[in-house]
Amino acid sequence: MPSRWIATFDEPALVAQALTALADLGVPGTRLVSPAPYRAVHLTGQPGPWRAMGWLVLGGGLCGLATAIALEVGTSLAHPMHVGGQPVIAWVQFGVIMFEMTMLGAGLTNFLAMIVLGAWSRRQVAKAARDGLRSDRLTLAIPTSGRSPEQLQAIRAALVGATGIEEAP
Amino acid sequence: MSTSPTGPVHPPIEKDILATLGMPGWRYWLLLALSVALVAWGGWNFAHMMQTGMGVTGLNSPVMWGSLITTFVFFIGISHSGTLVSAILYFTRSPLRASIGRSAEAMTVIAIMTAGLYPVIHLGRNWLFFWLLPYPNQRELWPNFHSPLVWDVFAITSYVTTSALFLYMGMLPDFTLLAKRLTGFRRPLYRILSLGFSGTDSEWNLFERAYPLFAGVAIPLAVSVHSVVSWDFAMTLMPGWHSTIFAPYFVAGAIFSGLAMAIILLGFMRGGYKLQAYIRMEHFDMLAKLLLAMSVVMSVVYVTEFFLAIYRGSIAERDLFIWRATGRYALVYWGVILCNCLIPLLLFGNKMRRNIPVLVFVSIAVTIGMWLERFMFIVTTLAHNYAPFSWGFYQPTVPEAAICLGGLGWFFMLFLLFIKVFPCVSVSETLQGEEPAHGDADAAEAHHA
Repeated sequence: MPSRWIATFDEPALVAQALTALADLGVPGTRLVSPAPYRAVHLTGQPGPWRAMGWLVLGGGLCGLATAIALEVGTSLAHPMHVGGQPVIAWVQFGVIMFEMTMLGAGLTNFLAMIVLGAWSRRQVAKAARDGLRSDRLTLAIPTSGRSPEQLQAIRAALVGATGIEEAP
Repeated sequence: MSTSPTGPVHPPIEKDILATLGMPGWRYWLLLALSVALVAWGGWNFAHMMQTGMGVTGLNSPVMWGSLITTFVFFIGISHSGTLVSAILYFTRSPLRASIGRSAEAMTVIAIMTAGLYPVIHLGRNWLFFWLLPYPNQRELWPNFHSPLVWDVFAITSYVTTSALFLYMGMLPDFTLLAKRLTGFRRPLYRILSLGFSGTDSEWNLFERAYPLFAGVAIPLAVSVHSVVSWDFAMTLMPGWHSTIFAPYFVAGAIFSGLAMAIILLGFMRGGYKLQAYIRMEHFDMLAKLLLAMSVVMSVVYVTEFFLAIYRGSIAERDLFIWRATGRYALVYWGVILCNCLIPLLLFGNKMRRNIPVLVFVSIAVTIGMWLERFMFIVTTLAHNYAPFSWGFYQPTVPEAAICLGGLGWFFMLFLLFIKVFPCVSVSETLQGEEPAHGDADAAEAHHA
């Protein structure tokens, strides 16, 4: 018994239709490989690490802010200079660099988080499906292990519009 | 390519983009040769300046900032629009973004890389530029965090890093898609640059979460970077500079000049690369309307600035603004008004906005006008400050002009190389844009069933 089917489609609308039908059949774990963020990528129902992104970015921004404060306050105390009658620790003047480094920390964290979480999450998708990425087609990986022949027939019927269905380990 | 009742689902975007990465025509080589020649001319004169000293420039007392700093502010302005416009278009889900976002973002990164050269060139002893960096040293020299010039270093560093990552993040899916189709050095290059992106649903969901967050970070950074550059001037007490209007004035000017440069680059790309299907006339029409709106904003700013200078009773300020319009730099002043306020009025005509040669002409005029504007407010304030005994005059020398034009050549050279090595229109966003809307998709499904 093969562990999954790899179904290819030409049109994003047909993939969305297939995903809806598979969800109605109660087939969990279906994954999609797509050349673009079509609406169908939101229909696989996979809980993903992306939910953490906002918090990670907030943390990165706060790290940037802390770095700016440490740099400005620490070095101003180490090399106290009175310029133009301003205090050595001048929070208003420090605000600009604090803002810039907060944003820089948030941006860098966002990028790194996307790369690292993306690398981690893509391993859960069958390599045969990932290798099939092309700009003119979409690929569905449907787990079929432990399914009865009737269920497999229903799944095949749900994949109406697929240009090809292959079995993959 | 497959078709559906709603039209072709997969347009020939991939083929068209691959065509732009192929062997270029003679026009490309000519433009590249001209750019390289300008870089060589500028580089030669820069070497001459390093060997001889800053005396080869026209800089003097009191005009210690001239065309080099003007070019720095000018390129910071050019850099402003790309990321900002691209991020705003992303949030507004504008179809314009798929076509112009990539080249606008590249323009930003390249312009800010060019801008960053000029403060270093202006240093005089350029080889000691690292003294500007905050690192412990035996001289106990340390940047003064109260200074807008130090804020500038942080603002520009943050902006260039964020803009470069924003551009790169948008290109990740295209690297994966195109790596399979390409041959030669680009194939391994794209594979490495794709960082393993595979187009899985979880990656797209991550991408769709991370990208707006990045755009949200980029917009305030874009506004802040030019505000901070304006504070290099506005935080002083010099007449003509010490004004609360300076930050929004700079931001508006930056968007204005950035839009003009984007139109120039897109105009040439559309014709040269046969990208008429992606960079369409309605896109130029929208950009022209934006350019016209910004021209009106700039005109209001010029009038407001002049009015306030006359009204508020500072003799030095009033005298400076009148001198700008009637003194030794009057030609520059009226050049600014002509290029930034009058010539863009052509775009009120419907036909003008859809005529690319006219649009490119207006954009070139605006680009020249914005350089002149930066020159005007930097040089005239220094030449005509509070103390009449120290009034002076400055005009750029040939080596200075060569270094400034070399920067322009550097900018175009990097852009030409970028569009030859990397996809200049986003493949994945174009595919996404071609997806039928909900209603159409239902129709397609019904037809198929």
